[in-house]
Amino acid sequence: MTPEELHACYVANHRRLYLVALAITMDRQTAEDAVHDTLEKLLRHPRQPTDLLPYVTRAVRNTAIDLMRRRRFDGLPADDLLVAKDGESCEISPSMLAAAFSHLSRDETEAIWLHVYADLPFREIAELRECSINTVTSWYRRGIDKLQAILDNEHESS
Amino acid sequence: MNRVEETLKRMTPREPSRDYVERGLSRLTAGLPEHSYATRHWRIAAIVLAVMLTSSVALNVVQWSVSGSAGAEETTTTDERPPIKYAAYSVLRPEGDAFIHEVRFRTFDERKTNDD
Repeated sequence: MTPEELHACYVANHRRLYLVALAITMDRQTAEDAVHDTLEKLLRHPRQPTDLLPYVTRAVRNTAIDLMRRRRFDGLPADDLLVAKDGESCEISPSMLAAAFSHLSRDETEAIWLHVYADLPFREIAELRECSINTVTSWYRRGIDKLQAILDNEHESS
Repeated sequence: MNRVEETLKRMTPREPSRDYVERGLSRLTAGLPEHSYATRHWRIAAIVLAVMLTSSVALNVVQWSVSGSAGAEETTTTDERPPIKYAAYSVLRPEGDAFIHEVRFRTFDERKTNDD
């Protein structure tokens, strides 16, 4: 991997890398730091991966986990982490949805974030997590069911 | 797609800060390949040099201690007690009608010249 290749990979995929880190950190600043720290690390210790993007993506995820441990973050999403898309009306508020994620396991949250927001297919998530695609889909499905139950309860109570 | 998935799709995570991409690029530039590789090579060269110096100093110390002690002994023997060498030679000494073969020894000081 040459620095030019890494440069090009970052320019083309900076948003995806940010979202992968965000799925772990649930904090914007820490996610950005994870991406930038990874770039520096990869420059200092260049390897020759067969496929650059999955390699960089995995490195970003690992750095995000390291940062979380070092900064002792709980990984709970901030209230303002999600925002409504322009022109979209939502039956629940973004802050309510963000709070609902705190009831999910790490794996469930990460699977949902990577699939819904980073647009990663289940196959890629499975490669990133080094597990089977069935495991990823079950994390995703369980997480969605939990969110559904939480939001239904919120509706009933309000 | 169920209701939750639809709701999720209607929202989006906050975008990274405005200078996110620029900061990433500057981090990439700060760790320029030439710079990082050069730094790495200099470090390796410095380590090799340090190892060579250390081993050379260690060798010198060992050599000095060995030759120093040996030299001290040599000085004592050469200056105060010069080595004495022995030479054997044979002579035929006449005695009556016969010759008797004798082996004789003599000592000489190696440091003295023939003129002495």
